[in-house]
Amino acid sequence: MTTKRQSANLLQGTLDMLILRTLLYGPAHGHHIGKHIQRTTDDFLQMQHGSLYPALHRLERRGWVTAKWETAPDRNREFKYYRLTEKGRKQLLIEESQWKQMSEAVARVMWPAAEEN
Amino acid sequence: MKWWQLRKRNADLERELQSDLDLEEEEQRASGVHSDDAHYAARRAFGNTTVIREHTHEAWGWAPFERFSSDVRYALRALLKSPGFTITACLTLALGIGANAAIFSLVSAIILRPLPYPSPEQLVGLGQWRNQKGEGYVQTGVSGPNIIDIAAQKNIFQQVAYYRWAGFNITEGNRPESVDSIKVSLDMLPLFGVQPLMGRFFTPEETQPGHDQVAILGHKLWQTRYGADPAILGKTIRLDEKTYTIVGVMPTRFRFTWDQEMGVFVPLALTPEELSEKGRATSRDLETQARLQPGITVQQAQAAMDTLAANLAVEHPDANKGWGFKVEPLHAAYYRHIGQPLLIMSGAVLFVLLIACGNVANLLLARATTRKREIAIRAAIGASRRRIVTQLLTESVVLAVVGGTLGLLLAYIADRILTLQMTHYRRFSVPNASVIDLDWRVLLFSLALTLLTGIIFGLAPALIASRTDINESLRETGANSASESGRQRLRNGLVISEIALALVLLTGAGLLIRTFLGLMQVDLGIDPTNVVTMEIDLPHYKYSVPANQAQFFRQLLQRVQALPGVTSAGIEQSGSRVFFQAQGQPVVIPGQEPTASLNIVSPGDFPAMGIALIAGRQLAASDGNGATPVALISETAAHRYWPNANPIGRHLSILAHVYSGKNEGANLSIEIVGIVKDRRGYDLWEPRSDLYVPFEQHPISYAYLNVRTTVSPLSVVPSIRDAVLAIDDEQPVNDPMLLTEQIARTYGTLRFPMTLVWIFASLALLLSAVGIFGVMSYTVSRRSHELAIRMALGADRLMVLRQILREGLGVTLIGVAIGLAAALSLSRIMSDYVYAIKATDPLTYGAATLVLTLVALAACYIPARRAASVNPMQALRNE
Repeated sequence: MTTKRQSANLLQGTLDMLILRTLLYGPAHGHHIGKHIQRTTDDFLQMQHGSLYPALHRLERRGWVTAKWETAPDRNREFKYYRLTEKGRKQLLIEESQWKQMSEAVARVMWPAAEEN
Repeated sequence: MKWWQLRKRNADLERELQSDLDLEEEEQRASGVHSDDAHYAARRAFGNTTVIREHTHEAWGWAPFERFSSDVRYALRALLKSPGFTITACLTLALGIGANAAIFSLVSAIILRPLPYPSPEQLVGLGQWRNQKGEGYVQTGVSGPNIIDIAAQKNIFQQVAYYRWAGFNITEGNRPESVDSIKVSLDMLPLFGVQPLMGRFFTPEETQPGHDQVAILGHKLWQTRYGADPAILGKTIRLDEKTYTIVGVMPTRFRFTWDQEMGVFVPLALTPEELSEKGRATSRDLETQARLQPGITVQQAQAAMDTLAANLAVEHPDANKGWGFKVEPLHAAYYRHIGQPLLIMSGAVLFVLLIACGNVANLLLARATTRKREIAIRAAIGASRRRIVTQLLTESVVLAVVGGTLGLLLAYIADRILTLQMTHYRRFSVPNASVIDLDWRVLLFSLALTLLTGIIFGLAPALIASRTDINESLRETGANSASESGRQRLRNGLVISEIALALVLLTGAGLLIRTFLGLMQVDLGIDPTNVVTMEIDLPHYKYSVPANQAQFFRQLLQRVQALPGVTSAGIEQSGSRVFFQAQGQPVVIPGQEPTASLNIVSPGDFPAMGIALIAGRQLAASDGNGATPVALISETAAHRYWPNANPIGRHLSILAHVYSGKNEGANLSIEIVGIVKDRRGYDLWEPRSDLYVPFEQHPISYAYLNVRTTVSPLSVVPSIRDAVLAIDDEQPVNDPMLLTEQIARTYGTLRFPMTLVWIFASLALLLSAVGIFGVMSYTVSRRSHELAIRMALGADRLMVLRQILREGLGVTLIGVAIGLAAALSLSRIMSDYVYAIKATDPLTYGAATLVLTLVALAACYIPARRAASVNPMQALRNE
């Protein structure tokens, strides 16, 4: 039970970071964000909508993003656009540095030889 | 986000999902998927929207709340779908919870509601008491000099105050009008910590004799008689023969002795004699209340009073030897006599509720079996056990809440009936009787009780129902499984407890009924048929001379006796109690003197009341003022105080009145001329010692007039009024009432609590019968397969019938055995409330057992007969 939850948390945190990073380019709606992440990673990260929407709503609750229904510039239709807030920007920096530390730490354990060379 | 935005949020989420789903579909189509397939492809790519929705809802943080509300909605739907079950369960719970709420509203009004004064815990009542040999405990007020000594204990008491009932008539206007009035000491009204609405309380000078003609009005009298006159201060009111200046008006909510609304307060000015050392023994009629110093407990005050009593007994042996002081919280003093019966009733209703819980739990168990598949399916698609238990518990709490709401409605009705009953029997004097209501305490109590009830009856069935093995349940077709025998054990356990509880209640109710029947058969010593009684109170200011009082009553009796239809008429004044000394017997030490109730009567009172003479002679007209003082005594007095001698011809002297301490005529030697039968009126439970003395020798200003008639007794009342008015055209006649009615009221005060307990016991009997019926019916229907096989193999119907009955009887007898043990261990509580039997009365216990067993067997008989009428072929084919 506990191990399962921990791994879920890790993924969740990562997803938050990816979303925030995506929004750095400008406001986007849910579908757009999902597609972007998928495309950028060459479909390596298959976007699970089951975690995308809860993550978006959680970010909104924490005040890192705001959401608003707006008409898309290229077509006559309203989408729910998510926008990064100032708080969200700071959070992105924090998460980014945490992720860096983490991946470096993991790398040092996994490939110690590379480090020595 | 707040919970009330949930709906909006939800719509927003739906829109968002739909919009993205549409986009996905467009993209699928753009990438060349056929338009029909694009829809499904989009959905596939999107994933399970229900899961997305659920996870997003979790992210909002209101998921537990949403789960709860969906559980409640689901529970309501499930309950509505099986109305039979729901109605039965709700009514059962409504009875249980309603009875508890009703009795608790009594507890709340009488015991829990604090006295309506500031710092009520500091208020205490004070009394003098002595243990009287043969007569038990005697409690009186406190005498004036003793109060001064008590008040000197400044470290214990802030204030010590006292009062006397006044009984004034307002003698201005057309007709004299009696008014509830008391004379109060300087500190009496300030003691309660209230301020007058207008004006002021009394000053020290005004409590001196001769300066005491000032009055404070009660709020109600000020409103009704004076139209809430704002300029009332300084005006006068005429009470009896004196005029009083009004100096104050009490606030609207002020009640004296908790719930009495007084009309007039005047200063109580003790005479120098009452305050002198002589008064230490003769002014014991002062009702005394005090306010403790902050931080002083009742126990500390009692200890200080014990020391004081011991000192005073040494310093003033004549007045104080044998007397102690008693300190009691004022509130407790008011409910003292009703506390224990309330406890018994609360216990009784709690039992009823527990039995109701048992029944509903059994219903739920049976229901859980039929819902096995539903629960298994829920588990199969991923509901955790905890989730299922929560859902089932929600269902039982919803049931309890519906039942509890209905119960409150029942309790409201019950409260109205209780209020009526309590105020009808004034002698059942219950403080706050007029405000028995569903106050916040009752509502809170009922809410807690309801939730608790829902969990109590719901938990075990929910736990058991959720323990199902999914595979087995989905496959099972009705054959007995291992878990089924566990359930059967729980079901039987519930019925056994119900029967045990019902038996305890039945024995309790049985004891009270036996007691009541016993009291009904008590020889009252009087013949109440065709007797009417009424009160005549001669005002002091008009009849201050004893000779005038005697003259009035003499004339009255002559006139009444001459009325057509009247066989005899007499007057009596009873209710006071005296210490006396039987002459020729050794002088008794103080505290050990014989006591008796003193009845001041006219000779005609014996035939009028039907009190029979046993020995000696009746009182006669010749026993007048100036003749030899004479008395009659009751049998009990004769046995108790002249155990080895014939009292007739012997003498006694009345030492003092117990309550007032007055001792005029202590040297008067009274000859005993006759013995009459015991009579019981106020106290049905025990015979008492009575002394009867003629009114000509002991002047009285008020008396009851008792008239025995050959015609309908009430029909002579108008002519009696005329006779009174013919003597004094201002003299009222109060409260004419049939003696039978008066006796019925006395019994009514006994019957009332007994009826309540009896209602609870019947409810318990009914509910437990329903319980055993339900369980046996269920057993039979579960086992129709087995029974059919038995019958197919040759068992005849009678054997099946017997087998089922035997099983029901087995369960019943275990319950009865446990119930008997419990009832016996609780019998000590009842011992104060039984008459002429022991609290372990075998007859009562036997009868209760028999009734319960028979009812249980009857309840088993219906399912047993159904079992016996099973058609084996059909039952087996149904498999």
